Amino acid sequence: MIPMIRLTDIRKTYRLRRGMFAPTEELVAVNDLSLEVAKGKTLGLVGESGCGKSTAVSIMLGLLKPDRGEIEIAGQKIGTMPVADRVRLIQPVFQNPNASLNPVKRIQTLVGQPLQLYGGTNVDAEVKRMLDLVGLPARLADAYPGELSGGQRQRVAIARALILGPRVLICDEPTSALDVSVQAQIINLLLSLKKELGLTMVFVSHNLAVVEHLADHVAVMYLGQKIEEAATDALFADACHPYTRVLLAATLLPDPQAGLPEQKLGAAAADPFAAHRGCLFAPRCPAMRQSCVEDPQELRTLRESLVRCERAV
Amino acid sequence: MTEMMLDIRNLKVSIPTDRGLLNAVRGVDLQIAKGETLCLVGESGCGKSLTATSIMGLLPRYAKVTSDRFEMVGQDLTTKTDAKLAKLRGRDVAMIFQDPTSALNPTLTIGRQLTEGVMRHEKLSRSEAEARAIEMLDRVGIANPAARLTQYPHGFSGGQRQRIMIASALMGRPKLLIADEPTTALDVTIQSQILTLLGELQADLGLSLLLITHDLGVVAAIANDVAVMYAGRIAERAPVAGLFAAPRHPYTKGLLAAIPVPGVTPRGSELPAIPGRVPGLIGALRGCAFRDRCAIAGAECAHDPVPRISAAQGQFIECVKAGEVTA
Amino acid sequence: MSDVNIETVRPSVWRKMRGNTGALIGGTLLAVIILIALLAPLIAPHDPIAQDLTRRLLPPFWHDRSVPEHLLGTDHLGRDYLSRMIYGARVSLGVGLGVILVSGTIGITLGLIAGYFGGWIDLVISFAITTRLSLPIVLVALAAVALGGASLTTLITVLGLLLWDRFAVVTRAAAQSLRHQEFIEGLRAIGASRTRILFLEILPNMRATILVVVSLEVANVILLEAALSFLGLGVRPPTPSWGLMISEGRDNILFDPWLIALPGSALCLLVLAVNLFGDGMRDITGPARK
Repeated sequence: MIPMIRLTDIRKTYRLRRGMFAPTEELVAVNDLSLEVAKGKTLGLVGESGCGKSTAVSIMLGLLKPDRGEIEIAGQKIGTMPVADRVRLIQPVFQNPNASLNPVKRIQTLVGQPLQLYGGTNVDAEVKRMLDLVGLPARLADAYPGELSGGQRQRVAIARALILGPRVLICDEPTSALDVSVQAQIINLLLSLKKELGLTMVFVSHNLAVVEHLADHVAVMYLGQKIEEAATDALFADACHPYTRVLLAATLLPDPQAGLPEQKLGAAAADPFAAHRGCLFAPRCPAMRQSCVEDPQELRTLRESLVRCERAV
Repeated sequence: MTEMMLDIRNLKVSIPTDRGLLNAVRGVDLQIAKGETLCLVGESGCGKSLTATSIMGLLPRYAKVTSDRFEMVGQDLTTKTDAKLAKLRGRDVAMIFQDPTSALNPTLTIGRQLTEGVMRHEKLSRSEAEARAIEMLDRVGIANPAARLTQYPHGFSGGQRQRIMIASALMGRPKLLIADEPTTALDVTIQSQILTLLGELQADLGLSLLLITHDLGVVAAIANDVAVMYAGRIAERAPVAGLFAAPRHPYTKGLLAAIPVPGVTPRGSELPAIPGRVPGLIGALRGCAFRDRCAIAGAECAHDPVPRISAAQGQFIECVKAGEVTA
Repeated sequence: MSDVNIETVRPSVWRKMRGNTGALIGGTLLAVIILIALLAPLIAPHDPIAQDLTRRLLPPFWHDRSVPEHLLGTDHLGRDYLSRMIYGARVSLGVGLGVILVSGTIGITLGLIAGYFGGWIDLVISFAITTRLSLPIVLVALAAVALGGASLTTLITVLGLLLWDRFAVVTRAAAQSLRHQEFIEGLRAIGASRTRILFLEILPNMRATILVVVSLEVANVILLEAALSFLGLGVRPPTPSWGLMISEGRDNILFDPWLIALPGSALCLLVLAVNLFGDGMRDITGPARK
């Protein structure tokens, strides 16, 4: 079966100049990223700031051209696909519903716009259907985003993303700007939509608890590289990569018994310019050996995980 | 009787807007004993940040702040003057903010920003102030602190900047530290480092800590006591273990239930979300502010005042249905 | 669905305006002046350029020497001053509007493009802005008039081509802050064209800012027109313009000061009206945010 989303060896670099006379440096935002998501499944993409999640999202949406590699959605290459086809296949939901809706447009316009752009008919009826689908009363069609609550705005953003009937939804931190109680509403909505519409989803988040709840399998990224990928159960029960373990340990649970995790990380911060061939996490890694820095780390299968660490056992 | 570092009764903050008076804080009681950590937790718009800023006296002049009692680090500030508060600020009481990037001035060196306050407040000489800055930077885990005094904020990572902010707050050797979402802007691995640091500092220096957050994970990790705030009032106050093990207020229960817990919440199951949204706080609010979203609300919930049911050690909840809640 | 206690009743622009005294006063004043300008042929008692040398320099109605049929008196060529004032409003408003159309279009387009695209495009446009700022307006106008002859069209063209800088600077800054908003990325994800993003999505967000610039610039242009006409670089006699009238009244300033005071006050009033209205509208039309 053809996967719904397939990324093959994606690489994207930015040229940066730190200071006016400094030589340009290459920042590798995404390196050799390969991902597959089967139809109807949800991939959780996890990592901290600077790990390349956002770049990966832009590439999947066709907004950013990778230096190298292929993206296929439903078996079709996205690079050569006409925009009108692309937008009917894949749509984003962004993090901040305050910023993802143009504040001067009415909800009616915002939700209907994608359809309007592609010559859809019966826009009004469709907008109504969409608002109903995401659980918003139809009378809000007349409102401006500023008059809605954060949760309502995120519902509008979801309605807008779904009106063209895409098969893939890319959710970039869709709940991290929301309050806990509203977050649960949106998670429930995404879950029911996924079931109802058979959506394939990529759920990008730094919140592991939310990812665990939504995703079927999880890919962990660090400084542009996928360092571990596994089915959600396997990853949460038995993470292989030291970074994944640190990340899991650092996730604070609403349980006072759990206390604060013992920090085993080095004090160094993630440095995207680190110029060594080996593991990018090595400078912070509690299990680091000299060879980690020297030898390029390849993805390998360990138990149920795909892991980029030669020392993981 | 333990010494109270903060004792506030019936704090009210109102802000005039063009749609009417916004009663953002509607009678908050807060007590923090010496060496304690109190987490003030709530959702956006519940008034938790305003509470903190009003304690620090940092609200704009048009905000109306009243309280029946306001004692801080042993001083009665009920009839406080701005001058009196300003004197406490930066010495006995210090505050750290959510975003370390915007709280540090990018055009001044770290050393300058750390030393300025104590040189003014405590009349320290430059070398004395710098010595203390080095001590504090070392304390918060900045390596090679002496050399880094001459650097500018952009030379530090986000986590390091928050450490510097904390060092800066410690410069006046405060007894009470108010932290407003100190880790929200940080990555999770950095977050646990900063929280660990705050916990250590508190133990070593005998600090009292008022930590404001929306993250129940942070609360569970660091608090002794928790005050859950909703619509400008404290809905429930309890020791951390009790609150998580047996929340009593329907709102607290709802909040805790709404968070998915890996390994506990079945994957893909519908989360028990709290329906509806926070009520608007413009004008008067009758009865319990949560009743529109509350599953067990009844007619009596619309009556004023909402009874407060107190227990030992400052625990209380404000809920008329409390009997049924505990059952 | 439970999120229902939403306030969907918005006060209309009109109702908001009633609460804003400045906008109300400015708007009324502006409306009156516009009405006068539009209806000039109907309400002007005389032909504004018809001379009557037997009735020169008649004083306005509050003088005892005044004549009832010339309510505001006559100028040094015996032309009815009230009629000239009424027609003068046409020139002031016309020039103001015409120049803003030209300069606004240029400035807003350049500013949007520079702010949205950034990079070398921004460098080029910023350079153009700096270049424009270094040009002295009066000297350039002088040169243009020398080449093209003084006329209303020359005046509007020259001022229009010179006064776009403030529009460009303001829209550039606003576009820079808007281009990183997520809704722009969302629009690109649905394949919206750049033109649509720039002019139909970003531009409406700048409504309030642009309104303020428009009000400042209209006032500025009206004063510039008066100044240039006064210097003989703008409107040609006998066309009535308030600036020209002030210039023509110069010789009689000692004995007949109203010749200057009347068009001067009219200018003042118009500029004040425009500014009050612009300021008020900015407060009123800003997007609803919490």
